[in-house]
Amino acid sequence: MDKNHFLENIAQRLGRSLGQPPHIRKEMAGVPEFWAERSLTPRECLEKWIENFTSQGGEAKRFDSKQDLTESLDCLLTELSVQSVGAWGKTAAWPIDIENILDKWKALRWDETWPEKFSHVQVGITGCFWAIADTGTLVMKSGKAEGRGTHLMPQVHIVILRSRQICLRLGEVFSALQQEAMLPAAVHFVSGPSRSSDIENDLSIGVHGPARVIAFILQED
Amino acid sequence: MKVSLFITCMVDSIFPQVGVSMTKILQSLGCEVLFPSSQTCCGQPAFNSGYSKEARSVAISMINAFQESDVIVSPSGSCVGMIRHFYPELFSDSPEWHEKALSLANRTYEFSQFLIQILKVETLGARFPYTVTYHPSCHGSRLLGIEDEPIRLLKQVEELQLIELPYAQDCCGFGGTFAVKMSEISGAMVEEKTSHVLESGASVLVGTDMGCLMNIGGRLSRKGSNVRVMHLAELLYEGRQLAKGVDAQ
Amino acid sequence: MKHANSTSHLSVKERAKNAVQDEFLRNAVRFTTDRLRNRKQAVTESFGQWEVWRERGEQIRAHTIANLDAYLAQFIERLEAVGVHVHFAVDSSEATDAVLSIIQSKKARKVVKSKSMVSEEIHINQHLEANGITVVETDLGEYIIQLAKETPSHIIIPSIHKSREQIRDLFENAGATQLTTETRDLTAFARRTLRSEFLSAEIGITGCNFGIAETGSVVLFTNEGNADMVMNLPPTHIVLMGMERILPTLADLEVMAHLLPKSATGQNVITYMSMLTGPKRSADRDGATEMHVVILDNGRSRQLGDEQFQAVLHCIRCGACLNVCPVYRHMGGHAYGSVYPGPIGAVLSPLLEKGEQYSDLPYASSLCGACFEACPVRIPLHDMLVQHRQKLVASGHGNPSERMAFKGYENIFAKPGRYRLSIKMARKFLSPLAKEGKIRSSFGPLAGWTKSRDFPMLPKQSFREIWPSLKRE
Repeated sequence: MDKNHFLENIAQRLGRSLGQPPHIRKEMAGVPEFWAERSLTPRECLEKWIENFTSQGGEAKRFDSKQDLTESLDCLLTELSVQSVGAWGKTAAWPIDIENILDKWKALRWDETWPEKFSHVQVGITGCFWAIADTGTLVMKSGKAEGRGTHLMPQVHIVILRSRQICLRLGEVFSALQQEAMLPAAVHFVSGPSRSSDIENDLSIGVHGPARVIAFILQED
Repeated sequence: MKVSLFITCMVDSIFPQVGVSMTKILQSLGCEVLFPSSQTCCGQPAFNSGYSKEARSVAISMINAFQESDVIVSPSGSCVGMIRHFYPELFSDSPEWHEKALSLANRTYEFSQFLIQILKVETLGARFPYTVTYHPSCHGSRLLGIEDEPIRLLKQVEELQLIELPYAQDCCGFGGTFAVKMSEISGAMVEEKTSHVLESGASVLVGTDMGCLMNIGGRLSRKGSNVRVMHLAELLYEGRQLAKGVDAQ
Repeated sequence: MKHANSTSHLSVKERAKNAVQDEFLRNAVRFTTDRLRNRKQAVTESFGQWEVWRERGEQIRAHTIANLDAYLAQFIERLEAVGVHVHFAVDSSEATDAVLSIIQSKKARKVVKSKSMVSEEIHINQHLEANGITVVETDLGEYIIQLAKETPSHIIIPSIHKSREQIRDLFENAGATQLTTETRDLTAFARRTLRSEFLSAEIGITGCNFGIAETGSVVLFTNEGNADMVMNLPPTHIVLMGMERILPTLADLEVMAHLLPKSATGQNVITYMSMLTGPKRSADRDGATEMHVVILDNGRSRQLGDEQFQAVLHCIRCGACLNVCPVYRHMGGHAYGSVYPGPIGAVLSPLLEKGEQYSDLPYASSLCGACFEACPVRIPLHDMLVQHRQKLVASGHGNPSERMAFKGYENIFAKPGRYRLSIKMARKFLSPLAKEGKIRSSFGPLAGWTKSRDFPMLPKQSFREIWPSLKRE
């Protein structure tokens, strides 16, 4: 069926004419006012984010210095006895420079290989663009060096962020996204490891996406 | 205060003692109780089955029956819900009857709400030394908005031990003609409800709608249980008699 | 599609009767719905002001649907601006044809799918398979029931009715060896198998939880992350959406992002919410290169402008009404016979194209109103169930003996004199059936009642007969 017939039928049944703008909304769009008006200090946002993220099965480690963070990351990769590491490309929007670790572990870089290769990567290391305290969420945008497969395909996803990237609510991320010239092709809001309860209501993780999502947070005051 | 009873067809024909208890409590609270004798049924069986024309005829006879009444009180949250919510809608195409329906709706109260909201009853001087659990009927709570009124009334009864009913908010499976039409599902629902009643360990089940209580009581009776099933008005009246040292029976 | 088809000639009453006898099914459904509704209660309590959120949800949905032509037009314009191909389908055959022709134009043989109720509604899998195309469901629950050749029994947890032993057997038939019944092992098998399907499929089909008018974004919610795989790995992505899945703005999506997962499974947040705005950009190294959106009517537009039923289009498909429905709880999803079970299914199914076959579903309810109370966008489902019954009666399609019964009811109850007389007659009629004040006879219309419960004998005096003595006091 063609577009105009389809839309005209809808308009006519609603007693409207096609091309007429929507009625002015009586109510505000979006969240209730009390929700939008809350405010938390950066420290409180960090605490809230960690609380929510970990309650959803995510793991969070926080550090006061970049050096502590990179050392701990190195330790974790050693502990995991990782065979293959993948990561965003060098030109990606890394919140913190961890190139020395990525070099040491010979990380496969997203923009230097084919996405299929990432299917065999055990640990994917990425930054993130924002995090959301209300829901313990990480926000990933697609881009040339920030492949979607880096955080989705591996068994373990390690994400690097600075505490000031954490905002309180989802609406703040939407506002920031809308200030950009164009929305990215994909924005992924990830709130912990992949999960399913489809087998007798028994929670299982890692059914498609990562079974572990570990956040390395550089705490800034 | 002059109070007219809308006794409901079910209490009239099957459970008259509920009406007697309600009358005596209202009288003891100083109400002048009236009984407009041309009342019949709220029309809900027909309405819920989709027979609005038939429901309208019955509703008209009800509106006429209570035309002169100031305040109407009924022992059923479901029937009052019908009058309050659906009578005006039933007559949406007739301004004259719509107004009459609205007027009736605004004057009609469920028993426990009337006691708490209008008479502002603080204590009834009742004593009832038993364990009691309360089933909130769906129409009373969801349609009419009965909240804690029955609980507040039960809590002022001396020596009454109130036990929470597990999954109290779940429907008992009555649903009027549903109980007969979808009897297997209805039977499964009432079986689950009675198992929760038994699980509570209470010796008395109290409620505010005889449809539900007849359903739950019928299943309990079939299971050979000796849990006593009572309308709130019966319990309060019997409790007052007990407190006075008079046998209510 | 064994379940739905083999029983479709039965009435909902007969299907319900069969379902009640399936103890495993009933226990599984009760366990699952209990879990989901308890979690929902906990999460909404800790979230706070739930009624304010519900009200906002209702306002957003009501406004959107009342202006659907404008928002849908805006959505389509934005989709086209970012290079998405948009298709329109008045019914399921137009929708399946549109999907098939996209697939054929790519000479594709394999499709991976994430869970989508619209795809169930139009029976896309059967249609594609009949045309030699392999379709792989990738939601774990959907994958399980696809292997079992069945249909979903719950819109959120489709495999609610399968035991882990049954699942192991199904997986072994699909090539697994030495599998235990441990959830972890079963899940690992599904991960391995489906991962290779994602990588080899040429087409990905997803549903659409919300389409955002102001941005032309398609938003998908999953916990497993399978929709992300489906939309990102195959080169062509087809989105199937009901025409009512629209939200005006991203700000409105923030409300739904709270309402949906909290209502559906009692989770504070969905694990993966993914927002696609067009196919991959030229610099991106993954994501589908081509994106199609198929917008389906299939009877939905008939509800627009209908005072009683327009609000059914407000539904956000969370399944909360199923989880609180006592009828669903005891008969499970399949007994509804429609792809949409529970209270929303009983209201929606008869309204869609070819809905006549579901005209008895609105009777599968005790009208307890729990569905309305649970609905995050406050759809008055219990009223709609009654309105369906009214419509059926008004159209002359009601049950003839029931029609007579209510004619009789009107004759008696609208006339106080006849009413008084009939109580006396009922007492006379019932007294021979009573023993010790109870009636257990399964005579006539009593049978449905007395099968599982006693009926009280009518007392010697009705209230109105006692009244004169009370009045004198």
